[in-house]
Parts: sequence; C-alpha cells; structure tokens
Amino acid sequence: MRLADDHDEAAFRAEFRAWLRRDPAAALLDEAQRGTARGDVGQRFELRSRWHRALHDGGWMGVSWPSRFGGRGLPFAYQIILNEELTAVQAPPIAAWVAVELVAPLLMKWGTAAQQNAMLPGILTGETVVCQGFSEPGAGSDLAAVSTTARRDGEHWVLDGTKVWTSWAQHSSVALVLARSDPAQPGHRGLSCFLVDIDSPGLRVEPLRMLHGGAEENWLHLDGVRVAGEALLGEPGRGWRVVMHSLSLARGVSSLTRTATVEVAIARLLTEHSTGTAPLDEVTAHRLAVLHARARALRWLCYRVVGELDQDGIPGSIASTEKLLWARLSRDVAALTLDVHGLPGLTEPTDWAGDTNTAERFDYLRTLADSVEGGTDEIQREILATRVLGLEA
Amino acid sequence: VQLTLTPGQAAVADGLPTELDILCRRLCSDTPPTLFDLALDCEAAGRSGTPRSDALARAWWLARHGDATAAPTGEQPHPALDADSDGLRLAGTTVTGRAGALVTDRPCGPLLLACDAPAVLRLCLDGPGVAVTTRATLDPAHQVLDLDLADAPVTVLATGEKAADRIAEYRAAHQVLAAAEMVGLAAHCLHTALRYVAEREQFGKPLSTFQSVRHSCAQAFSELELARSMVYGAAASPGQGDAPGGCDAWQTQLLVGDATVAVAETAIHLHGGRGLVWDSDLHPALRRIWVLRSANGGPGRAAREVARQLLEHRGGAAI
Repeated sequence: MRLADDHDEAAFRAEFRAWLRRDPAAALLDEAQRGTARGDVGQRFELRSRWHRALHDGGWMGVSWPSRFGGRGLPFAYQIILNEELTAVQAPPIAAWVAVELVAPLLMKWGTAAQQNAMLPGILTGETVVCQGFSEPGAGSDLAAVSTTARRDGEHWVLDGTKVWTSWAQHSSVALVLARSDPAQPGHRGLSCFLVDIDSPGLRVEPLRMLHGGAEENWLHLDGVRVAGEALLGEPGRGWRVVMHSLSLARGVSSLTRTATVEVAIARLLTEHSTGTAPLDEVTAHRLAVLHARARALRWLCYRVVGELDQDGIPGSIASTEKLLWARLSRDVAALTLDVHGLPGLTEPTDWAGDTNTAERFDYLRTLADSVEGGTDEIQREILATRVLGLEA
Repeated sequence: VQLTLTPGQAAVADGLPTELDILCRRLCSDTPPTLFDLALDCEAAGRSGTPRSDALARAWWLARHGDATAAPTGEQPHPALDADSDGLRLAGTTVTGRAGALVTDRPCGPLLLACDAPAVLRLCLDGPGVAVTTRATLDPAHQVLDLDLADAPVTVLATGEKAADRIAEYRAAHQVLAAAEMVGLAAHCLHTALRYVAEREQFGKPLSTFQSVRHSCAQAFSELELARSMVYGAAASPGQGDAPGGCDAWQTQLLVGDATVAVAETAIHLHGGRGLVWDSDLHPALRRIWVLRSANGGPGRAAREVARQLLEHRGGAAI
C-alpha cells in the first residue's frame, strides 16, 4: 500500500484542482457554501444538477467508466483523487449520483445495447436521473418479499403495486422497479427488474415528508403501468441478481461519497471554530478529535475497499463494515454539530432574531436515516457475521 | 497510488513476523523496508504475542539518523525519545529532572533523550547524577525506565528545528508501529473469540447462532478493521520524509488505542467465565494493549494534540 501520487496521478490532480478554482466550478462552489436551503429539496436538487453538468462539461464525469461507454477508462485511483479534491473544497454531491454510481454499472453489465445507448449518455451529463423502486411497505429488510407484480401482456408487461422510500423520484426521469414476474416462484426467484419512464400512464409519484421536514423520499404508485418488453433489465425472473449487484455497488465506490459527507461536516465545524474565532471547550474539542480520527480511518478503510474492488470487481470482506461504521460516525458528527451550536442552533428564524441557520438540525435529523436506508445496521451486522466471519446461523 | 498489499506484504499480513535481527539488517541496506512494511510486521508480531514495536521504532530511527547521533565508539545508543520530556531541564551540558521511558529491555548503551529545549541528548546511564530504576508494568514484556537526573552531564546531539524534527519523527513512527502491534493483539483476541463462539454450546446450540453474539462479533470486527485502516493509512501516507504526519500519528494513537481495547474486552466477554481465568491468553494481550496505548502521553494527550493541530492549522480543507 502506498498513498502518494505517481507522476500521472499528480498531473491529473493538479489539472482538476486548477479547474475547481475557475468558473463555472468556483462560482457554483461558492453558491453551495452560502446555501442554507438544505431543507428545500427542489433548490438542493437544482444546484446539484448544475454541479453535475459543470463536472461533465469539464470532462470529470465517468473517469473510471470504460471508454466504449463514454468514460476515460482510468483506474479507481483517479476516482479517489477526484473524491479527495471535491471533499477538500466541500463540494456538494451531484444530483444524479444514484444513476451514476448505482444504476449505470447495472446497465453496463445487464443492459442491452439499446438500453445502454438510450440511457448512459444522459446519465453522464446528468439529464437522465434514475431512482430505485425496490422497497415496499411490506418489503424492507426482507426485500425478496416484494409484492409488486409484473404481468405479461403480449409484448408488454403490466406493473401493479406500491413502492416506498424512492429517493428523488420527483426529480427522476426513470425508475428502476423490482417486481414479481412469476407469482408461482417464492422468495428471490421469479423477480424481474424494469426500467420504467417516470411519466408512464398509471405511475404516480407522491412525496413523503420525512421527520426532518423535507421530502427526498416518495411513494411510487404503479397502477396498471404498461411497459414494453425492452424495459426489462436482465433476464426475466433473474432480477434478484441485478438488485444484489446494485447493493454491492453501494458497498464499493459509493463509500467514498458517503465518507466525504462526514468529512465536509467536520470541516465546516473546524472552519467555524478554528483558533481565534469561537474557541471550543475542552470536552467538545476532545469529541471532535475522536470523530475526526474516525473519519480519517474510515477514508482509508474505503481505499482498502476500493482497492479490493479494483482487483476483481467484487467487494471484499471489509466492504460491509464501511456502511455500519459510517452510519454511526455520520450521526455522531451531526449531533456534535448541534451541541456546538447549542440552543440558538435549535431556534427558528424570526424577524427580531435574524436568520438562524436551520441546516444543522436538518442534517442531524437526516442522519437518523443513515442506520436504516441501504441496509439497516442489523442487516449489515448479519451480513458480516454470516458471510465474512463465517458464523453458523 | 497503490491501494492493495503487494504479494510480499500480503504474506507478512497473513503470516508470522520476521526475525528482528533480519529486519534490522534490512533497515541498514540500500533498499530498506518502508514504515508500512514495518507496520505489517508489528501487526504480525502482535498476533503472535511478540513485543516488537518499541524495538523496531528505535531501529528505524537509528538507521535514518545513526550518522548524526550515534556514539563514535562503544555500544549503540538506545533512543528513548518517547520519554516524557516535560520534566527535564537542560542547563548548558547538564540535565536535571525526572523522566520515564517505556522499554522492553534495560538499555546497555547510552540513552538518547528528548527535552523541550528542544534538544536530543545523549546520556550515559552509569554517569554521575543519574539514578535509574525500572518498574514492572501490567505487561511482563514492558518496563518503565525511571530516570532521576541531578545535573547529569549529557552530550547535546541536536537542537532547535532539527531536534524537534527528529523527536517528532521518532514519536510518529513509534505511535504508528505501536498501533500496528495493538491491532495484531486485538486481532488475536477476536479470532480466538470467533473460534470459541462457534464451538461453545449453550441451550443446545452454538453461541454463534445467537444474534446478540453474532452482532457483537460483527461490531468488533468492524472496529478492528477501522483501526487497521488507520494504521495502514498513516503508515502509507508520508508526511515529512518517510515518517507519517504528526497529526495522523496522534490520531492513530487515539483511535487505535480505544478500538483495540474495545475489541479485546469484547473478546474476553464472549468467552464468559473462561475469558476471566489466569490461564486464558486473552488478558496478556489486553494488558499489552493498555501499556502501548498509554505510551507517548496516552489517549488524553493524543486527543489534546489532535484537537490543537486541527483547530490551529486550519486551511478550510476537509481532508
């Protein structure tokens, strides 16, 4: 293991750093820094879309995608360099990260040439936003219990059912829907994945207001939605493999994106309280030191995860620890931030008190989802116990 | 950037530690092992219960700075730059005060000490004004060398920025290698516990089938991998020269000290009453972890140093 850049990597880093200092990047980053509208889903999405577009136009999207799909075919080390530099300038995430990180690789592996040509270019530019319609009211951790049905009707499929926790569906153009295509098959057999246009007749997106007040999540109501046979991603009845691939991607390069969110939160705290501004008391400084060390270690753990992934495309034994460690760290950092801001940080903006920053409380409440979404802590521990530690169930 | 272990490194990571003599010879060769290689070896030593980080940190430092600081004749000096230097006062070429250094063997040659002047000092243990006692610690392999100095003559080997750099470099290497050994010790504890919960039956089935036990193991494994990642990262990202950056080394001491104690405690707990008996090989590992984590001022000082450096040297960058 060696974490110093070689010649080409150093040149790539310098080029990206220079790009970040120029407009449009500099102006967008400045806007993101000033933005206190973290509670407003629409504004956040709009800014992150423009950021996605700017990165694409600069040639920084899909650097590790194969060149036949419009990428630059560079090793994951370059993805890490981008992530490090984006984190250092506290860049916002891109709007369509689900499409870029979780869906595009599925299309590359399981998609037809027509599906790839139709979707991958738009995913790179940010125009094609994809949401994942996996969970249902009756199928959370037990995802194989989905009851949304896909019925064959000639050359078409007809989808019926209800999906929930569909993040960013209100801004998406396509939903990747997991449905039971063979009712005779139990469990994870008989499931198929479909790429469904979000404005298909019979499909209704209903935003779901969450405990933090915002509505990133949505209901997805499918009421006799007719899709063409070409909407099927992968073979019929083999949808579980596609979903498992998607979940394994969430344990791969996406771990860098997660770690960056925590590091940016800590960096904000440090910037506000560096010596000479508003000093922190000793107990708070101690908590901050511990959390900073954990974030530092988590970044390096992610590098090991990405390194293992780079070897054979399969997340290795430590990949499942990352989400578990991150979820706790993310909440601890958000809680520390709330503590540092004290009671004033919890008050509502008023005419006489001025514009209090509501971002910290939003961030804290948002982190309550971290130990639930994308596999609960309990599921992660169970995966570790069974698959990594080999403990008999 | 190389994100994975080379085949040679992987062999050390999965195997037994190299003989100390061999490593010391390699350190003086034209292609010396990197600090990362030494960290892997310390981890392997920790797994097999061999104390190693203290001796390797000294050998690493001497190999780099032997020319500048070694005695022209006589026994090789023993760097004890981790000794608490706050209590030492340098006046001309004599030093007064008390200091304690963690050692695995009582040094036979002169001692190299740090003092806050800052300076690197060479002290003969059998010289005038030097009273030396050794105190046993809760780990039989480590002792504390107590120095009580009254106008003891010293040779000043380095002062100013050079001395500060040398002392910081030694401390950073010592912190990272000690942390690597702690990871090895904790890994031994966890692996022992994993075997035990798979074999031990209660209520007619193995402990490993109980979800509370399974999840304890998973949590401990996660903490261990976080600690190992900290060591890998700190050892693989050079700050100045080949030594890790100071802030990274302090963070390593802080995180790995806490994580490895937690893992070892969990492993002992998972053994039930059998983890509590003298004949268990888990408490010796926990004892050594406690000694190693308490070196260099312990976690309290580590947290203070991390907080100070983070809040002082702030450029607005997140990593």
